[in-house]
Amino acid sequence: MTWASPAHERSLRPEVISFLAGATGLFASISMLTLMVLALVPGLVPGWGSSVVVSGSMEPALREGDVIAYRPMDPRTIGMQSIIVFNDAERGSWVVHRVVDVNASGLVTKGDANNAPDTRLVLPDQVIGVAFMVVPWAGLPRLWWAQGQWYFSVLLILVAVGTAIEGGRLMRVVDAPWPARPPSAVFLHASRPEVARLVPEDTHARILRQAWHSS
Amino acid sequence: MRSRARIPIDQAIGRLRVIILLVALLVVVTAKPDAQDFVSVGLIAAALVATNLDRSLIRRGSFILAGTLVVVLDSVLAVLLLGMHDVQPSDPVAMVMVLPLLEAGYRLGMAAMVGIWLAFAVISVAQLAWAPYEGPNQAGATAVLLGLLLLVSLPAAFLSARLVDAAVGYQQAQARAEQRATMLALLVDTDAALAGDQAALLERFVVLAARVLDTRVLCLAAWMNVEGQLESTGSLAVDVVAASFAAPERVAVSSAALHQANSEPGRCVLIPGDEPQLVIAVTGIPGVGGVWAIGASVEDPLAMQGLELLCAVAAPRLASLSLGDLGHARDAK
Repeated sequence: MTWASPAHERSLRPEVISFLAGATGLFASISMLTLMVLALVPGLVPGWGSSVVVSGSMEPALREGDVIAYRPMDPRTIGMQSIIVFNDAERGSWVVHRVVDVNASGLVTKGDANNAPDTRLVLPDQVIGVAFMVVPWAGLPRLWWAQGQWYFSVLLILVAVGTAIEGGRLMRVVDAPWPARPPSAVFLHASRPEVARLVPEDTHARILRQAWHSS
Repeated sequence: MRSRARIPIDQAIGRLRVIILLVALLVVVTAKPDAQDFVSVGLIAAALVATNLDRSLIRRGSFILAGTLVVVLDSVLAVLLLGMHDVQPSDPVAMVMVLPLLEAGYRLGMAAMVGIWLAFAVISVAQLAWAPYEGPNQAGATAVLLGLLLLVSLPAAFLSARLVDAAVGYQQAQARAEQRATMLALLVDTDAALAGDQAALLERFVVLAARVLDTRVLCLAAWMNVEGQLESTGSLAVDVVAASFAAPERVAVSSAALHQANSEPGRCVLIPGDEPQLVIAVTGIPGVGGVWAIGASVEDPLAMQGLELLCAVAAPRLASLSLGDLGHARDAK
């Protein structure tokens, strides 16, 4: 036996799907926007900044693709278990590791996922800042791009654009019942009843309906 | 049944603030107050003062200044209260920050709302940065809070902007319609005042118009040039037609057409409408010195027949206004 859905259900289905797509798009685009804003805001303050985690040496505290925000701090006040950003001249890059010991010569650092501390001490002038905030996943597009997986970044951009468009469509659907400009004929009829004597009642009703729908 | 009284939203917000102040005072009186409680009550009292100042500014017409003042004060109030009581972003109370955002969207528009939201994001990051350092804070809770704030405020600001546009549009349309209704009433009264053949013609026209309108010629208006004010009275006729079509922009093209109609009485000047089904015909009436303006739907055969009939009876030389002319006008558009 074949069941046929009623006509009004069939006609509603595309609208429901469109609404769900719009709501999902709005939620996704706002989520992405929020993460991006949080990742970029520290860069507005001089001396502060944000950096993308590109290795898993600090897992599970920091995962690849997370963004850490850092601010400057007097190296003498940095205590154990702090996560610092320092310039590793040997590697030629910045490193984000945890301070596991502090001595007179410098700071001993270690990645949480590493078995042993780093071989070199971090000197005070190498310290760039201390990480104060972790924004999850916000650096994934840049990480993918840096690793040559640009197609993931492009795909994410396309998804972001698509979700933003779907979200915008939802807003327009919500806005749809409101006409851009109300028909003057409505007020023409309502404000001066003596005008109505020129026009039969049913004709006026038809004019108002046409004017309303056309607007 | 008694209808529910309606109050403006500004007054509602003011009353809400009074209630909040009373509750806060009750808390301070019944509990052991500390400095933070007193500061909180002081801030709420400041918001109350701001509400009164807001009304005063609005009465003077400074809507932007009043809106900015209240939104900034409310934002500062929300941030300070949350900061003083060390409310974390994961705490549901933190959603109180949605109130300044909604107010910004309602009073100043979506751009201001997004600006306030960005300011909240900066403040949230600064709060994390300046907190006593115990390792990096996960921004997940802050991101969820900011995302929820934007998710609630963005559609609200969007819809409030549309509602404001619609309200302004309604006010403007009502003003336009009332002006046209006044002019049309003047036209009807003048019809009755005219004497002789012209009065007979106009009376006949009114009767005929009622019949023709029943066959979907949407509007017809006429004016006699009794005082030599052809252009203004002709504009009135076109205006009335345009008003019935909810297309007041048609008035902008009426002046040139009226000049042409006046210089060559009896010749019909067609003004194609922006909408495909609308054509407005303007013509001077030979021997009378007036102007007719007729609007009709060219896609409606009954309307066209009624239009031709009306033209033939009311002004014999207008019989040249045929279906072909109207169709040509539509094609030219």
